[in-house]
Amino acid sequence: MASPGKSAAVKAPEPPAELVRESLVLNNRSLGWITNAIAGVCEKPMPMWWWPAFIVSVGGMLTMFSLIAYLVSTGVGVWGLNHPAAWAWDITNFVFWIGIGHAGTLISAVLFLLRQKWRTSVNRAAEAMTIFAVACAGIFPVFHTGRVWFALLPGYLFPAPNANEIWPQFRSPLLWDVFAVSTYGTVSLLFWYVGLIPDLATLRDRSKGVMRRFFYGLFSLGWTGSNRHWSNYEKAYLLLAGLSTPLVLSVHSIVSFDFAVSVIPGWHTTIFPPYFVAGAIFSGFGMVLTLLIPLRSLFKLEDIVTLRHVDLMCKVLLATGSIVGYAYGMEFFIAWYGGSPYELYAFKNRAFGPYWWSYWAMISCNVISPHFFWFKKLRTSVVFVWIVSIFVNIGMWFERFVIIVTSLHRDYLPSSWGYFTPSWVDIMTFVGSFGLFMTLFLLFIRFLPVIAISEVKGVTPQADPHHPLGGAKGHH
Amino acid sequence: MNSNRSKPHGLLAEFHTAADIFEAAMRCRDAGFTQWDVYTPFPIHGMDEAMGLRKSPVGWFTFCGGFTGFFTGMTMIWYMNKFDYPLVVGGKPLFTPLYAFPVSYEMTILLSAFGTLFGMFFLNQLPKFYNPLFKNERFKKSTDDRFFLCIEATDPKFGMDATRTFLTEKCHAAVVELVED
Amino acid sequence: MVLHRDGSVDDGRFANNGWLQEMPDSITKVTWDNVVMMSQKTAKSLGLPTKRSGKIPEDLSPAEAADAKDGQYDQPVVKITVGGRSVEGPVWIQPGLADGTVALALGYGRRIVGRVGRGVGFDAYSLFQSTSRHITAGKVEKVFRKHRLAVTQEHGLMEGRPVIREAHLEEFKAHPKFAQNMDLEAHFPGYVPYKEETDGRNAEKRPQNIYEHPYDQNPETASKVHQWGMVIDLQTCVGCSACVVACQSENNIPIVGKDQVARGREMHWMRIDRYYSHNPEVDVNAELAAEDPQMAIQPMFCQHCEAAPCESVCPVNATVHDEEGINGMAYNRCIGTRYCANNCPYKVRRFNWFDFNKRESDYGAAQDQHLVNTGNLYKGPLGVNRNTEPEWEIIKLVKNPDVSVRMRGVMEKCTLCVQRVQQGKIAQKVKAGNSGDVAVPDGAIKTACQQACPADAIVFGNMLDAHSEVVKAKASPRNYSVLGFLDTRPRVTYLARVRNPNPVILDLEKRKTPDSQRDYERFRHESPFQEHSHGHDASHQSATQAGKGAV
Repeated sequence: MASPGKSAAVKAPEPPAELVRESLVLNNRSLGWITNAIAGVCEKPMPMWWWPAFIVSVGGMLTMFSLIAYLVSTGVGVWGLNHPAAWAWDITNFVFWIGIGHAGTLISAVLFLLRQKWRTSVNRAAEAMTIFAVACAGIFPVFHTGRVWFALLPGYLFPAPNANEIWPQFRSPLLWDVFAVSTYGTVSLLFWYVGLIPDLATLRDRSKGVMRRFFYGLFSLGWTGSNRHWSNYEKAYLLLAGLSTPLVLSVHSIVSFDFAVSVIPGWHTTIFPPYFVAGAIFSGFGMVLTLLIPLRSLFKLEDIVTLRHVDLMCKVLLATGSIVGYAYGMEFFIAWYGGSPYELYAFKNRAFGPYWWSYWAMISCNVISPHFFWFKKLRTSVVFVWIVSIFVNIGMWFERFVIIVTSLHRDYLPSSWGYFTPSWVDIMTFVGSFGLFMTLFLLFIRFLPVIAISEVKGVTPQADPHHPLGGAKGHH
Repeated sequence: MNSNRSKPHGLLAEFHTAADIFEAAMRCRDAGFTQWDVYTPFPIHGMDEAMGLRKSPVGWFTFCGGFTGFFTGMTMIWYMNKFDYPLVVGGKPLFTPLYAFPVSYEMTILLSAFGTLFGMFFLNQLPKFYNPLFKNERFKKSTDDRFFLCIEATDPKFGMDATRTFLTEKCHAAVVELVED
Repeated sequence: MVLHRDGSVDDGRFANNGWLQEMPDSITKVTWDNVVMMSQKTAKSLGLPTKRSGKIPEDLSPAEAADAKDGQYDQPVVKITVGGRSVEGPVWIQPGLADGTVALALGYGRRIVGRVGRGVGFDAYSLFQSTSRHITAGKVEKVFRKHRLAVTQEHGLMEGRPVIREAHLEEFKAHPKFAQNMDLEAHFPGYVPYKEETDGRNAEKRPQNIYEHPYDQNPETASKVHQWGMVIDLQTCVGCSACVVACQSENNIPIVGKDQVARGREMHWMRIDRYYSHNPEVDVNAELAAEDPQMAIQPMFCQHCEAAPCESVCPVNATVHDEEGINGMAYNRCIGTRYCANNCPYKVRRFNWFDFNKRESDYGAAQDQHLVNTGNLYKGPLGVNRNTEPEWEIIKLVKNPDVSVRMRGVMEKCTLCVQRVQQGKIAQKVKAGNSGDVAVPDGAIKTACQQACPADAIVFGNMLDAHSEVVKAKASPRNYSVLGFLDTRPRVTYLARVRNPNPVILDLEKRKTPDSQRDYERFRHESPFQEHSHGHDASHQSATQAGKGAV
């Protein structure tokens, strides 16, 4: 791809064949085509399927909000929680969603720092997914508290002077979590927004309607594409990427501290931070694939989100899935090697106790399913990848369920052992959270560019002033 | 439009390829212009050097934000849990940087991010909703697939005719005049 | 067939007392019901499914355990006929009950009683005959119906964990410190650097920490006058549960009703754990295991750990230590994350899942569906509010005015009757006047459970008073902390149980140590009556010293 068309004019020697990279945008599309293709998605009326999907999603979202109203007005008892298992689906859902919310920042920030240009086609949607997943995640720890009205009041979790004259307790991993998740949500939103500013300017300049022009104009802040701006902008983007990388690693580490810092067998485990981070990336990439595979075909974006992207993301799934599988094995090994009969029992109980089915669901979804991706044929079969990505989502939900519920339901004193069963409110609140997620995602498709226009343009050969397609004549 | 009320803002030159504007930018730099800028739909690699720009100072804002965050976090936790209202909690020390670290770390990142973002806005003077460039219909293509170069009238080397000639002859661009309202 | 008075409602006179209805039976741990007790063999001969409660251990295969959810036992019902009159009641397979015998508690199934006792249990008086009153013969038949029971303890075996530490008298004489030579803390000298505590707060050996407790590091945080502690003597405790009810009445603990108990949401701050142990040479699943079990009981409530795992995880400082060693709860500070309950190794924290004090519970009525519940508590603001009831004024009078009534969403647990402690201190200050002698004399403060205990098994007092009962009790060689290896340093400790079996009844040749001890030895491959062998010399030496100290 290095020298089509005007190659005769290029004086520089051609790069060796093995260094020639496959173009990230297929079929040699022009810059204008990219603008039209991506901006067109949110400018044209939505296709027919969008409306039923939106209505169903809004229905789910409203179900969740009504059930939360029921929960807050009546008591946490409407969930199935009980005395050995004072956390169950609530925190499972929280960790599930926050894990999904890790791929976006990872793709944006880590791959940006590693100069992985393929990220440009998927980072916008993945970042959006991050923010919506963090929004879903935030709902559960907030509303799982018995007295939400105090939890949200400054002076309890948020440090502020208050009538009790007591400050928050900073030894609690839960408070670390409050800071970590809110920082993560905020920084992800900033990062996403910074990336959106040039594209919002594109939409502003293309928009015909008054409303759209006003809002795109408002949020693009008067962006002109000035190179003096780009200079600061690129620096800021690089720094935000640099900040997001330790952030994304710290957030799931801190979420894992909720368990690792405790004394409960099955929770009190030093392997948790890296294992949770790998699991989060695993589940996040699973969710990115679940969403992007239908999206690229529904909106005819196959030339931008190419099979190569799917292939690369499958490799990430394979790598992180293997780390997760290793962690499962290592947990068992340490339970035995550590010599604590309490720890050993907790792990035997996971695999063979009353919740054996959740353990084996987790193992088959997370440990077995990614290993299909050793085969390139399977990595590039979008239907197969999509199915496996669904299994990854299911498996990662079960992982959190296994960690939380099977550790709690049988801990130290056998007299307090019990069993947790979800109530219908538990189940429908979780289902409803998908409604919220999808509602936000569908609105995102409707109003914002699903792919980072300026960034995709930036990695095309046309963008390179030293490339023939960029207009280079072979001399400066 | 009444030309008496409108004073010229500058000259806007339009280019079709990245290479063309890259070359034009270098010519402008070499011609010694100072009040000028290049407008592109995406950042062009090497353009900062072509324009002769210095390194962006955004990093200082990031550092100040981060330092403030970490220092605030540690001080706040020490004040709240050790100094103002010490309580015996879980048999753990009243204060140690170990337990204060996660929150201070998050605050470092949070304030660094704010510093970065608002530092960038400050340096770029954003938001700025009024800009004479927006009055030109062609300029809308600057966020699509065209490349523009604008030399402003406030530049000491600016001369309406000489600069126009410079842009058309030397840079081979289509040039229009911009006015301020 | 044996008809007996019930431990909770006696002959029925207390059938309308919610506290007693919700008090778990001393042995079966069933609440809000009476049952038809029989042995596993008897149940089998009647063709009844025996897989649930009869087997020892109740450590079931997954498929079997799935039958019991949150302490909800769907028990088969039998019909018992005596002299033409019959009653129907749920079967309860009771380990250790003589074969061919069924035992029924009287006092339930009263037809004219208040709303609390209405519809609770079945009326065994129907089988009461003037000719043979308490012991009679009858016919038992299967009825194809199930009855749901609400049970507070689902697992009845210690699983080899030395939660209750027992020895026979002879062993105790030979190794008086056996209880301190059990579980992982017995290995501290071998594997973990440790130090002997001598400051009187807690004279156990414990691992060397990387930091000092704030009481030591910041001495201004600890009182020099009072440091409260408690000892429970497992030797004398009879498991009557009087302490449970005393605590409930003292501390305004709500009753939650059968349905909530079945969901594992009873609010008792204090519970009596009952553990069976069986001859480990018999296969756990064999019927023989259930025939001759041994049983041990243990009152369990907040252990007031000095290094409390619950405190350090609370994000809002709602549970902290006071300067006298009480692990306190600031109810108005609590936001209800329940993290403390999760991180409590003793699982003694209780959460207000609903407005139990404000909304009427459904008492003895059990909801049939597990997933969907339509009871009054679930109606939230639309449910019946107690404030609107005529008895509201009476209900208010039941409350102890010295203790906060907790609303929903708040965690609660044993406070060592902090209100009584404060009253005692105030009374002493008044008495002391200018003399400044504010140290409360031993015995002046009694906790509610201690006051109610008929066996004086509970001792509470000031650990800084060298002559107090609690210090004497803690000096006993039988003194141990439950889960001491976690280094939570409980202020509540236990005195190990010493059995003195009659050699005529118990074959001492075969069972020369209690079954729970044999189970421990089987799981852990070590005995508290022997020195532990350790990996390297230095640790071996210290273990030997510990062993010598014991003998």
